[in-house]
Amino acid sequence: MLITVNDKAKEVAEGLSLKQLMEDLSVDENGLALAVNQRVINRTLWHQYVLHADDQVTLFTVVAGG
Amino acid sequence: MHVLSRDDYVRYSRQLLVTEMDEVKQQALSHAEVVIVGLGGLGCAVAPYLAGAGVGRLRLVDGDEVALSNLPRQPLYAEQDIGETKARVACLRLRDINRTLSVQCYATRLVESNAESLLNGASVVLDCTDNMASRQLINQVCYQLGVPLISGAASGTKGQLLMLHPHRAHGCYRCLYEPEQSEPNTCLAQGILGPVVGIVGMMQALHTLLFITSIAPLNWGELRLFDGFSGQWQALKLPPLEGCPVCGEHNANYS
Ligand SMILES: [Zn+2]
Repeated sequence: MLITVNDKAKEVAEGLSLKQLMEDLSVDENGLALAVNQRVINRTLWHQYVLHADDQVTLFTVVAGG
Repeated sequence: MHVLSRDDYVRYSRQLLVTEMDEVKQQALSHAEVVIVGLGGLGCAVAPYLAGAGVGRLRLVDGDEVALSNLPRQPLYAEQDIGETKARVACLRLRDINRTLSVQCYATRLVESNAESLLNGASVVLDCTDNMASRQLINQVCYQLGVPLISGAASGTKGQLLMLHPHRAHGCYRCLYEPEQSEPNTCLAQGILGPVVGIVGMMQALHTLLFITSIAPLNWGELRLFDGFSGQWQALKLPPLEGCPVCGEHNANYS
């Protein structure tokens, strides 16, 4: 099925969890947060959140400077 | 009956001419007390605009001293201020802008032992700090005290703005980031373009004025991401995390 990650289309397996998606993307998770369909999903919920077709995933980094 | 002095009418004439503004709302600004924690790039953007707009009481909190490397993005300070405490210098500059205000400066770092007394009684708190630990602490104490929090952050070419109201149903800073999460983007590690941090601070100032005057509703519980390359903002909803140690009890009925 097709989802988008930061507005770029991506083909992923049915039933993929957010946690698995993050592993597929092989990004450093510690400094990251994400939203699906403009709703932030806390990192403790990534393993149980199952993606659906057309989901829009927004990845963003921790920003704490000022 | 006139609620504003003759000088105030002149001073605030341009903002009073904004259709939604009036002298009662201007007076609401003069009765408000805003705490600005952090007087770096964010604080330097926020503070002069709030002083200029007539926010009656400002509390400035920062334990740092002015350094040469601050000057590109912290326009409250000048070369002759290097080595002086930021809180003191900022205080003097703000009084120069508007002598009618009460500006209090606290040349100290906000820590667990002083956080409650520094934030207590605020109409709104502005998080303008530069590290995760301070941000988590401010979030926690604002929720304890029931004080709204407008949090800004900037790093590299990215900015984030988060508006939190402890009495509204949405997530808090702790629902967004865990204290253990590291900052791949701290100013030290990745640098910062001055205007990016200025833009985020300006948004904090704008939303503070909108909130205090109630001339427009704020989108509490919204996280806004700014990209300095495209100039675009993106809005995300922040739902509460079930069992959040900070806001959990406030958010039993979120949907
Ligand atoms: Zn929370």
